[in-house]
Amino acid sequence: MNVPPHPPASDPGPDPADLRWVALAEAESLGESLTAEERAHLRAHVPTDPALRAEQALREAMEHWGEGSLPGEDDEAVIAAALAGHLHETSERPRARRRVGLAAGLAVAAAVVLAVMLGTRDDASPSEELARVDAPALEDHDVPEDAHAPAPLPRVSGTWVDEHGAPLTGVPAAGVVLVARSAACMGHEAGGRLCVKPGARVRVVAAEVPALEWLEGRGELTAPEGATPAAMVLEVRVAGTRVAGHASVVVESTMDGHWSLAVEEGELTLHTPEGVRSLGVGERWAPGERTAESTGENTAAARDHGSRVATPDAASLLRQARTARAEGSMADAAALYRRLLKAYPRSPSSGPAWVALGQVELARGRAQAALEAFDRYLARGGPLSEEAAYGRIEALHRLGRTAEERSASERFLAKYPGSSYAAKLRRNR
Amino acid sequence: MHAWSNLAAPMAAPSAYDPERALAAAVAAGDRVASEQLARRLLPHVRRVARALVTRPADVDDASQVAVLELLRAAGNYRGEGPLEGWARRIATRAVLRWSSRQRLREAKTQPLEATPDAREAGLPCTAAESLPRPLPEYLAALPEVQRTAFVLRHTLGHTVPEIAALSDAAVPTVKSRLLKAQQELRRLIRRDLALGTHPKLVSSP
Repeated sequence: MNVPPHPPASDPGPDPADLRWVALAEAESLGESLTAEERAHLRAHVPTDPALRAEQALREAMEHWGEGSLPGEDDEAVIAAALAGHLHETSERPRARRRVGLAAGLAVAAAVVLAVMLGTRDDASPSEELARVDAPALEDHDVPEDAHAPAPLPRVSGTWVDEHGAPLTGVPAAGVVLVARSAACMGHEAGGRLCVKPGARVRVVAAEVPALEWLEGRGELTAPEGATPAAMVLEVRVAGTRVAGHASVVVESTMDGHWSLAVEEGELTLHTPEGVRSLGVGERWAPGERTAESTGENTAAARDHGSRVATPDAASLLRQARTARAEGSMADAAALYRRLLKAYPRSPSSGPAWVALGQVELARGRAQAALEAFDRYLARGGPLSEEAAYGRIEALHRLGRTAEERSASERFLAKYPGSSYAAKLRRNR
Repeated sequence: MHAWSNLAAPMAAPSAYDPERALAAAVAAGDRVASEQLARRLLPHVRRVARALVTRPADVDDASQVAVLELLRAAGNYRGEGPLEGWARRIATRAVLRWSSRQRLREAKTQPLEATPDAREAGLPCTAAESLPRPLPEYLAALPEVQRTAFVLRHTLGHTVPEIAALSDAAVPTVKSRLLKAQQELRRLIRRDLALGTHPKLVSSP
């Protein structure tokens, strides 16, 4: 292998040292001989490209793949069963019967190893006794509290701490700021509830007649069926504005002390000093903004309208969306991706964001929304077309649009015959 | 000297591996003590092969059991021309690959099991595992079976390309093609994950 250490200086592409690392990694993988200098480069070079750094980590992880014992491994059982099989085979018993015995031993559940090869228990030795391993009993696991669990609603649930980290005990006092350490709720059986994700902050305005100032975080505000805002026992305010409704909401504080509120699902009624207004899905409100929907192209337009709320930059939104997605907060992730796409439609992040949004919507069971997102990406195309095309097939499948799904699958297989998704699609044809 | 040393073939030339050859001969003759000693000595190597090659950690015990049995059966073929462990790894690899192949055929006729967290991740170095956008088992699972096998044989079990060709009954150029495609697909998946962020697996396939 002779990979030049210094490619032509005119090469405007990726880092030449990275390219060389890729070439050497592939050569090494194929068993080509490398010089000492090449081996040193392969070992010591830290790629500037994050994807190659991850690939480097993968190669390192592969070297250790399969090291270390797994929970439940039972050497004695394995040895006893194998010995039983072997000694049985070296005895004078008919071979056909041995094979039946082995097949029976392997057909049981994976966690159970049975030494059935020796036939009768009279033949069993002490080591064969060890070959019988009971499958571990399933253990009950703590089920995380579901912030969106249906009624009955406890007045306070989850883990709330004050700003000094002291856990909440009893009825919270007026003026106390509480931070949710887990998915947590606060509310009233008769008058609705506010359930928030970890990290959300609220201020208790009044304890006797529950009123909360929602300072920051994500969560759901739930009104009892048919209740009017005036009839709600729980009063929730955001920046002094009374908020009522049945909606999944994001309340976000900014560094300069201002607020915004965005509806992901459902509808909110806002009782502002200027009057009552409603806020629907995808709409956002911030004190001082003239319109409820001000998440247009970037923040410039919003500033022109006198908004005091800055939309986070695209990278920040993308980071938040990915974090929410990695944590399994799909509703949050979808809202953040939509916000990113709306605020920065021409950003380099917008392409991947359409695909990510489609996948998140699929995970939420919203196949139609997913299909629209994948179609948006595919209309323009890009390096994630394979992912988007497969996601589109998945969405069509869930929508029951079988003919379109079949047609899309055939196009996919023709275009990406070697795709890792191809086997799944062929299996389901 | 073990009691079964004199079971080694008397005409064979002396070698550094005579004790191993004698042990293997005793195993082939059905000696229980020798068989147990061989099984205990080789099980750690067998387990490494099985953990690396099987798709699900829950299958490691079954695959290891089959591979140890295969080693005991094949002991009479060990000629003492190299380390016992190296010979055992080749036999075990073949046995595990055959077992995995049968398992896939069986599972193709039944409902596949649901994916569960893979305990094998715990054995990976923290820095490497944390630098990956998603767990290593998910990347390996995304590869077609023949590519995944070639990649693991090469990068985990350290086989040469010709050895992989022999173990998987494929031509050398085929193995090279599989390795290259596996590497390129993994690179593509990593780039995809960095672009999209990691996400739980899609709930079901169409």
